[in-house]
Amino acid sequence: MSGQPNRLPSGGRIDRARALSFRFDGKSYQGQAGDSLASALAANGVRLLGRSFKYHRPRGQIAAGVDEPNALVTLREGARREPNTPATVVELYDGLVAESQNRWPSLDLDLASVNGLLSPIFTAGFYYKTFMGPGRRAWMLYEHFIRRAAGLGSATREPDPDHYEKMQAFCDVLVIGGGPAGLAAALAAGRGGARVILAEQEPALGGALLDRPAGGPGDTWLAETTAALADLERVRVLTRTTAFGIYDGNVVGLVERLGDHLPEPAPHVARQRYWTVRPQRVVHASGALERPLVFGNNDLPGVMLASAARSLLNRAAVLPGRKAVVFTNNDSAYAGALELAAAGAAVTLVDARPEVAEPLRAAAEAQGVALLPGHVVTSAHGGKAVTSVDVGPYDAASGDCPSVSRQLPCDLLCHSGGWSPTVHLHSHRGGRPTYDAGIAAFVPGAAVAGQASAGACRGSFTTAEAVEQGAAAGAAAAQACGHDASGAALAAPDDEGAWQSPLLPLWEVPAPAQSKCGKKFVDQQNDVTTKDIALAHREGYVSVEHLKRYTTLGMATDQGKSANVNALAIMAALRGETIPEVGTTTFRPPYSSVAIGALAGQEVGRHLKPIRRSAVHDWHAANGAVFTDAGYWKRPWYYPKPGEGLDAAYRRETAEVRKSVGMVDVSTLGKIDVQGPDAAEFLNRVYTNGWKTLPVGKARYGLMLRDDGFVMDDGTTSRLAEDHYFMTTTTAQAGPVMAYLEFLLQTAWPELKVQVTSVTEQWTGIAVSGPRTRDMLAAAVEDIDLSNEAFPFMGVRSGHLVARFDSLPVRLHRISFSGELAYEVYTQSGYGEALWEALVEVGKHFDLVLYGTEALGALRIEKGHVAGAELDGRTTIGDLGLEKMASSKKPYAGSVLRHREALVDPDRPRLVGLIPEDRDERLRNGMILCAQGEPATGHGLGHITSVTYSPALGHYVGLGLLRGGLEAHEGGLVDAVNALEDKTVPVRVVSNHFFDPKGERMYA
Amino acid sequence: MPEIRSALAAVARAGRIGATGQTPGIAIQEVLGRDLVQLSAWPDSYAAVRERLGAALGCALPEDTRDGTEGPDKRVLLIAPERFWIAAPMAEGLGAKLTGAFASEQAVVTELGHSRTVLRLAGPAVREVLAKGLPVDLDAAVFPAGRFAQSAIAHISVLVQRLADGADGEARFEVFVPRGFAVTFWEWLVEAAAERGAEVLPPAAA
Repeated sequence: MSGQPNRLPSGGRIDRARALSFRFDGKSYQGQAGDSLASALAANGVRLLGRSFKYHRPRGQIAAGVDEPNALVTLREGARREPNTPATVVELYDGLVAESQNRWPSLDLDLASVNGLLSPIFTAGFYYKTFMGPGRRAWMLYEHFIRRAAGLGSATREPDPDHYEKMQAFCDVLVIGGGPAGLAAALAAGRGGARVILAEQEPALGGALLDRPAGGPGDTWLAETTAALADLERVRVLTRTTAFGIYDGNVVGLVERLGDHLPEPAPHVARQRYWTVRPQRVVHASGALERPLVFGNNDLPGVMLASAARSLLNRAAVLPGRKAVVFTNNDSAYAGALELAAAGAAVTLVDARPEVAEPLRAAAEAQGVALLPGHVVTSAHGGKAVTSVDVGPYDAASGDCPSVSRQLPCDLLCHSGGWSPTVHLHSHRGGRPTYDAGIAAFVPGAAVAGQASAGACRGSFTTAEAVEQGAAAGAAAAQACGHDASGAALAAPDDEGAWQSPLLPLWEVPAPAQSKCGKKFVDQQNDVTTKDIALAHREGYVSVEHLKRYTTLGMATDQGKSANVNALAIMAALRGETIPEVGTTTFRPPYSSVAIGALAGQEVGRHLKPIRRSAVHDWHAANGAVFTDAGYWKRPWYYPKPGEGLDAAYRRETAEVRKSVGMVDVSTLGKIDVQGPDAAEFLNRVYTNGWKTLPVGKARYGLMLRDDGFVMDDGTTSRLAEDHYFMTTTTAQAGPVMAYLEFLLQTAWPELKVQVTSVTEQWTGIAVSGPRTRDMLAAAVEDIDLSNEAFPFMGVRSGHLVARFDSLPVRLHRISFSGELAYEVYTQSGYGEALWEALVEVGKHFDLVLYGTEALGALRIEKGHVAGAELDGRTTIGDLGLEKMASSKKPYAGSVLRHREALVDPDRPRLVGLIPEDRDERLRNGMILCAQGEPATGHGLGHITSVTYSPALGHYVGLGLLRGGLEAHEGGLVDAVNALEDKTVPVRVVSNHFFDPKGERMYA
Repeated sequence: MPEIRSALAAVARAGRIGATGQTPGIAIQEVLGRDLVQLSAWPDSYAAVRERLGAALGCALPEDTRDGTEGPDKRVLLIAPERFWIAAPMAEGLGAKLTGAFASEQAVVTELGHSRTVLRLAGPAVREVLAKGLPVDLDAAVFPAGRFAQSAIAHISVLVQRLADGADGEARFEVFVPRGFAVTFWEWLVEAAAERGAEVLPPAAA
């Protein structure tokens, strides 16, 4: 304990045997295991912990938990640096490093504290009035500097070295809070046989019991209850776990801090775990937060809530001051005041109430505590810490303090304005808080369905009430889930917390005329004073929601936990209304800060989205393929030879396909098994063209429309048997088409006996194309006659590879996307890689080239086939020049709405081919097409959808959508404009069938 | 018959993963070479098809679309109204047999044996590991043996079925993952399992 001047020689709940070293603002200190960073600093006599947001005033610890507005620090260094953490909730560990925030050059000497002198300028609405007035230009200019000057800490820019994860949980009863009420609820529900989760934000169970001196009856009760819970197999206790929000259906979000109390998380353990809990019943047992009193300089270091001082004393054995003034309007501050006196401090108790109940008066006298009933503290004084307070008589009836009657020297000022039940989670699902004048606080109104509140969070502040209500709520919740919970009463340790005399509501403490009274802060985190609220009132702000936004009161990390009720009360007084009339702001999740990392969980880096791999993926990777993303799929983009880039590789691949034979993995195409007695009828309704005449063993190209008349997708469908079809879709539209077919079958045509099943994963598809394809496949396949007569274009045949390739079963579809003689070869995906290897092996004798999606695209653009870039959801069948695919003899999905006026407008952009007039020019996707010489504005006449270098033609070619299409422009010139590069390329408008327009190669 | 290749060939290695020095929380084993046949009847043929299918398979059929039943060498899941999945050893050629047994007016058959990677998970931490991704209550009291859920883990659609507890009393589950997502699922699984330690076993034959 050496070097910890404020640490008491005994008491507390710290581990005195385990000393921990830590650094704050570069200086080394020692604390003990069980300390918070705040209590360890207090033990070392460090009270100045930060500078305030706007005025850079010196600030210290105010509260003992998540409600702390001031003591925000930046924790850790390097990649784990984490700003804006309340020192009160940081568990001390050996080697902890923390820095204060919002000061320059140092915490002790902060040059920006001059802002305090300019405070008349930095009033409510300052930013809006000054920088966001007419026009936004000023704000754009100043924002950067303002954010730097009035900022909190800054986050690291390095990647987070830790991992986070999610957990899904289900239970009968979720109990939020592990104090007496929550423990009683969990025990009652658990004993009734319910599946229970108890979430406690602190490292240990006990709640307010831990603020009492160690070793009392509360500790005995706590030990017994905790042991009883541990015996219940269906009860799960989560400590260091905050329930931060409740959502629809009472789904509750928790964040469990697994590694925050360690220098770094344990191996294989996440730093934080984000729980989604779906309980049947929720019991709120989240306690209450002490409310400050609002007097002059109430933000000086050494001025803190009475509960914070008590927590320091009884949890950490820290004596936060030797000469203490305790200022209260209620009974709750007495216990702490007496304990401070017992620990050796000289204590003066200033009670705003004119009368103090006799037992309290007697106890104060016995402990040597000087009592000043009917008095208030009007202002504190001091430089970087409190040194004295002004005290004057208080007339409760008029609310006046006529004069300062004495000045008390002190080094600690504790204050208590009463307690605000933690109604936040009750409010998240629309539960209204109602005002309870008896305790001058908001309590939960009508319970939200499936929820109940017990103990201090519903305004019942004694331990006995907490245990009684908790046990009853726990038993009722278990019963509601069908368990036989008796609801047997649980014994409480005692009745601590009972008030012997009522609280005297006191909000803004009056300042006597002629007295020197400092600023009275309502929201210390946002530097909002009573004057700011008055200003907002004068400027006509009536709603509390507007007050909040205008003054920033209640924002930032503490969400105004200590400020809101005081602000409402002050606003109500200014308006001459009651607090319930003014109402309260709405609490929304999260209750306290949640790290983005926890929300993301595992879904970062390679888990951001799943990767889909074809059965041949590993082979592609091992053989040098460069991959590209196609939705979730990884597809080979090109297979570079040494020294080749994309351009060289795809041009070579494209040229060689047309010269010999090439092979590409097309497993990513959507594949749908369509079966049933009505399958032909179904296809006939789905596709625009006729399907009733397709014979078994043949494939057909089909086009389908959305029901709004636009083109949805294209592909081929093959008839494998009388009532069995194999449909393919584009890679991109596989999912939407499958969903669309299901939708049509279930809603539009439930009478059709058709089953559709996605078989994309079941089949590996390999397209083999080029003039030598037939020769190559003939060498690979054993039992299929590949001659043009036996196996014509669009034929489908099943067979096997030759014996040396294990007679792999294959199905060949003579379909061509490249315009060459081509077959798609399918096998079941467990054999997919073996099929690929076999074809590579055979292909060695036929100059086989492997090609990727870039060459695949080049081949189809040369042929003028449409693909994803043209089927973009905005094109009609006519736009694509496929009008002949639209049957006039039958209805089909989209057949009515495709005739809408705008969809048949002859001036719509329609598919054309484009060739740069200067054949050496390059075309780019997305170039805007404009009339020659016209300025490129708006959407022009259309745009280029697809481009490639055509090895067959020796120059770039493009497909585009151009107003009026070929009819208006064939043979003419338009400008293709690339606004990004400020480049204009004159292009000749031609047919989109650039290469082999009659398809002679395909039918060969 | 040609060999079926595992979609996990590049990533799955037998051995320990994650936390060591204790009993692994979960054992992971791929089931390789299991056939999966889908049989879909129509509303008006369902009753008759059920009867014939039960007789043909020699096992009881599930009544509820969340449940599965087990027969000799076979498992039957009712994955949607009038739609069964039947798992059996690949060598049995079940797809062809069933295709021949039912006219399309009664029922249609789709072979899916290559479309899923099947992982068998067992051990004391199996529920905890699955809960890191699966938003389904797997508690023994509400999710009995045979029950399955069709849901998603790490954005991947999965079917998770609870099997009868092992001889050692440990919980056992099987997860059916679309083959193309198998590697991504594997990466998720071994990360989720690392905290409690995992033992990867060599693939099992169906």
